[in-house]
Formats: sequence, structure tokens, C-alpha cells
Amino acid sequence: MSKRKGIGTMAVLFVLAFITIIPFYMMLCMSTQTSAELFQGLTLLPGSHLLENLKTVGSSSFGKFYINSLVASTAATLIGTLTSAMAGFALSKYRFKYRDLIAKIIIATMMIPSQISLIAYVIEMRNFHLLNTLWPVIIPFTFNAFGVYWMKQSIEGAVPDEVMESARIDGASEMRVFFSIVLPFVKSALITIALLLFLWSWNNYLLPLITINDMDLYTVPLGIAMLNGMYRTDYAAKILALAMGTVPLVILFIFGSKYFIRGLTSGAVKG
Amino acid sequence: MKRKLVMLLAGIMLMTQLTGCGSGKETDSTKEGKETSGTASENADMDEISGKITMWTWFDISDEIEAYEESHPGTEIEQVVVDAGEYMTKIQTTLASGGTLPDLVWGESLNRGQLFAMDILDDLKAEPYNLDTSLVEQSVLPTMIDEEGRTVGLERNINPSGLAYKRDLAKEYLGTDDPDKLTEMITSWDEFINIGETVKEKSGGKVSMLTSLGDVYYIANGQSQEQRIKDGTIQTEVVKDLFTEVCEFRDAGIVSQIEQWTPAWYASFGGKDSIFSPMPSFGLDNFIIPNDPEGEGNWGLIVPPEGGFNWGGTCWGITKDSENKALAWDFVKFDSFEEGADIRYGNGEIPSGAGYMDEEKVSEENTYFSGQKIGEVFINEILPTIYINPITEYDYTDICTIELVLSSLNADYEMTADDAVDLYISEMQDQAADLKVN
Repeated sequence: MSKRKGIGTMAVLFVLAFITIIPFYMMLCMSTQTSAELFQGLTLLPGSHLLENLKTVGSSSFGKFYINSLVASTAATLIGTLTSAMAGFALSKYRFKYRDLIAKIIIATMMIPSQISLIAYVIEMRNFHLLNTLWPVIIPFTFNAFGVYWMKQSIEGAVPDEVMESARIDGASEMRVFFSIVLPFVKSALITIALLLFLWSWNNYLLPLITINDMDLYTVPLGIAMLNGMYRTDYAAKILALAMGTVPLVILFIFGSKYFIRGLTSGAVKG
Repeated sequence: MKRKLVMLLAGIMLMTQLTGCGSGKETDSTKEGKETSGTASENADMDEISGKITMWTWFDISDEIEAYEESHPGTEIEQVVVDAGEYMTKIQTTLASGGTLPDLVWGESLNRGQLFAMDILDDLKAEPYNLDTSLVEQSVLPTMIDEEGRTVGLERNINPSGLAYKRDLAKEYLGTDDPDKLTEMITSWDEFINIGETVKEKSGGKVSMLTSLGDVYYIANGQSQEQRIKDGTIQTEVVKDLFTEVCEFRDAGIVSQIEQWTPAWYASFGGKDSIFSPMPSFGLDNFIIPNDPEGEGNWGLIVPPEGGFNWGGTCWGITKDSENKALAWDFVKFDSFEEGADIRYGNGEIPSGAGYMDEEKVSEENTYFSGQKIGEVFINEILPTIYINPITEYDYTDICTIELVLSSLNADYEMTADDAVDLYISEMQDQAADLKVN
């Protein structure tokens, strides 16, 4: 009975996995076809137009855009994860005046659509002489309200005060407590927020569109959009560019998925 | 130790990249959308061509830029290619945030009304440019003029449009694939509809005359000499005429139920479901060849009943705040009337500058069109019949609303022309509350 049940579960999982993977597979197949072939109907076999599509994508300095995206997303992820963890630590483990108010203000900022503050943000960046650099596309992710909220909740639930106290009694500084005691406790949450920040930063389109006026600094989403014409878009080349654009994300999620799932589910069951 | 070293090196690399893009480009960062190294004194003298300008385009024109820089030492032109669909968003955000626009911008036929209304472009007929509009194909002049009557754009190309058809389908269902005989056969749109009904019957409903109601709209709109919006007022009768014509085509069952600009619409160029497609002069490279790679020799072109029409268009504009107008204007002239226009002509475009419509330049036989001289059809037969309505600031809102209404007409065959007019007016007023209705 249990064996039959196991086969049933496997079958369901197989179907779900198939449904999930097939669009990705189709994206890879479509990236090897011509735009005309794409419009003739769906095919699950690779085409013979990969080199031509690569040439089209390559002609748009895609390599440079890729490096820019990697630099911006890596910086956003590293700084954003660190600031989120530090702020989360402070808000969850220190007692100071207006702590709850500050936490509420941070959470409230999550309710404001980023488009509303876009113009003001561009003006701010100009005043700091940061337009036409990668900084305007990095900064919004380096101080991320969701990241702070996420790390605050994670640290609050996962790090016992007693362990921190013991470390302090043993002479550890506050930075040592943070890096050596607190962070290992919330490794999954940390990797989860890092993955999310990288994903958001990598896929960001509007900010680079508005703040970057130098094609040497274009990121992958802008590079992909460049393949749009007014009356004609080379969809096959665009899909190839999209497929290439997803590679870092896929790699990161393959290596980080274990922690990602653990991070997302850590608060689900409390023992 | 090794891990620390790797981390340190990675950190140094990252910071190098960031500072490389940041402080190292400090001088660039001050340009905020453009970099002009022409000084005030240089700008005062339109004959002194030097320095740097920037331009925002939506496709790459490196060939023209490289040719210009080569023939004009001491000049540098920076091109920023912006997604066509977000071009106006970028301009509007830059303006709203107090930023500086590039020296040169483009206006597309759909959104140039909006661009012109922003009052950010110089009048090219005034000092210091003194554009001689007699050098430009006269039929495109209305597309260069804003609502104040100032010539703020210079059209890059002419875009005459006709009716392209698939020869094999025409032969099978219309009895001939000869363009002259087809022109004789289709003398009016009523005749076109009658023939379409016969084709529908003969093919068992499998073959239509046109692919999309959008195609009908482009023809009807292009041929109309009445403005839908005039002096800030919607002209209800003109709107009604348009949708009545669209509904006639739809109700006769001679148009496929495919929406324009969708993958299915593009695929129709390579399919066997419809005989005719409205085709602008840029349609061969943009619509036909990419979607019908096997179709060489199977296409033909005729002048539509009631004449040709204009489809699309891209114009140059020089921004008022440009600090190097001499260079900006010199490049525009180069691209419109000189070597840049020659390069574009070689790439299949038809520059709007006089001289590109000479007999010898347009008499090439086109293999895709079975040896038909399509340049001759576009220039000699279609172009003289073209009339273009004036540009208005509501053009973009208008086309977005039209597409919405067409989509509704396509989805609901019970919807009448009167319903379409009501929907059009209510949507237009929602988006532009200042519009009046006549």
C-alpha cells in the first residue's frame, strides 16, 4: 500500500516537475530558432539558428551588459545582505528608544510603490553626482526594507539571548557577537535574502532605464530591451538573450535552493 | 588565509569596477544624459563643427555615426539606444526630474505629437538652422510641424505604403497574380469586399483578404483626410466614418480574426491564410523577409483603391538645451541629405531628402517581388497620392484607444460602429479630460 502511495507521489511530483521545467526547455529550444519559426507554432526540438542569434545578441555588446549586471547585482547583494542583517540584529536584540517606531516605519515603507518616489530618487542621485554610474541601480537594494524586516524576524526567532550573553561574558565585542554568533544561526535566512536581492537587482529594468544614459553601463535587462524595434523585434535573439540572462540566477538557485527553502520555511513550525 | 586572500581580491575587483563606473566617470556623470564639450563661443558659430554630442535612438545607427566621425575629425557622437517602447518614459522622467536631455532625439509617428507638445525642440526653419524645406519630400512636411506651426522635426525617411499580396494565393483565388490586372480588378474598397466574399466562399472560409482589423484601420486611417481630433475636439463624424468602414470589412467576413502586432500577425506573412497585407516601404525588411523566408518571388505590390497612404516615420529633433547645436545640426544634415542618407539608402531606406526619389535610384527589380520594380510603385505611383494629417498632442492617446476599440470589435462581432464610437469617446475623455466632443 505504502509502495503504491510512494509511486503515486512520485508520479505527481514528476508531472509537476515536468510542468515547471518545460517552459525553461522551450525557452532554450526557441533561442535556437528563427523568429519566423517561432511564429509558425510550438516545437520542442532545437533549431539551427543558434549561431545567428548569438551573433545578433553579441552585436549589442551583451558581454559588457552582463559584466555590468554582475557587478551591480553582486554589490547590491553583498551590501544589502549585510545592512539587512545588521539592522535586523539591532532591531531585534537591542533595546533603545523608538525601536518599535523605527521598525514600524521601515515596514511601512514597504507599502509605498517604488514608482512613486522614482522622480525624487533621480533628483537625489543627480545631486550626489551619481547618475551615469552603476550606483543608482545598486543603492535601492543596499538598504532594503523587506531585508531588514526579514532578518529582524529571523534573528528574533532563531538566536537565543543566552548564547549572545555567554559570548559577551567571554569578552566578545559586539561585532564579534554579530559575525561569529548571530550570523551562523540565521545562515538560511541570510542566503534567502541574498538570493532575493540578487534576483531583484538582476531583473531591475526601470531604474537603469531612467538613470543610465551611457551604453557602456547598460545592464542585461536594458540590453535585452535594445533588441526591441519599433516595428520589428528579433524574438528568437531576444529569447536567447533572456536565456543567457537567467544563467546566473539558475546557478545561484541550484546552489542556494537548500538554504532558500529552509529559510522560507524556518518560521513555519516552531518547536 | 587563502580564503581571506580570495575574498580580499574579489572585494578589490568589485570596488575597482564600481569606482571605474563611478568616480572615474565623474566628468561623465555631470552630463546627465548628454555630454557636450562645445563651448558657448563654439556654439555661437554654426560653422565650427567640433566637440561631442549625444543622441537617443531606438535602433543602432553606428554606420552613419562612424562615417560622420571619419569625415569630421575632432567630433564625437555618443549614441544611446533606448527601448522603443520606453522612449517617451525616459524623456518624460528626465524632464520631470530636471535632468538634461541629449542634443538629438527621435520622434516616432505615434508619439511625436507628445514630443512636439513638450516644447523642448528647436524650430529648424529658424536661426541658426534655417532648414530649407524644399529639400525635403513635400508630402512628409506635416509630420515635421507642431501644433504651433513650428518645424521642430526633420523626417528621416518617406514611408509610402501600398497593398502587398501573395502571388500564389492571388493566382488561385483571384485568377491572376499580375499587379496591373489586380489593380484593374480592384477599383474600390466596395469591390475589394465583393471579391473578398467570393474568395471566402471559394476557400470555404479558410482564406481572407486581410489578416487583421488593425490592417483595415491603417489603410482607412492613412487614406482619411479628416482629422479625428481637431483643435482639442473629437470629431465624432470622422470617428464614426472610420469605425463604420472597419465594421464593413469585419461583417463581410473578409478579415481574419488576428490582432495586429501579435506573433500570429507576424506569422501571417509566412502563412497561407490571407492574400493581402498593407505594406510600408520598410515592410519588406521588417515584416516580409523575417517572417516569410521561403517567400522570395511570391510577393506583389499594388496601389490600394483610393490611393496610397503613409505608415510610420521617424524624425530628428534638436533639443533647445543642446550646447552644441552646430554639431547636432551638421550631423542631422549629414544623415538626411549627405553621405549618411546614402548609407541609409544603401540599407534599403528611402531618405526623405530630395534626390533619393530619382528614377534611376528606384527602378531596381526586386527578387522578393518576382522582379517587380517596387521602388517605382512606391515613389511614382503611391507617393503622389499620399496625404498626411497634422500632428496633434493627442495622437498617442488616440492610437492606444483605437487599438483598444479594434480589439473589442475583433472579440465581439455584435459590437456596432456606434458602440465603437461611444467606447472611443469615453476612453479618450478618461485619458485626456480636456478633450471636447463635437
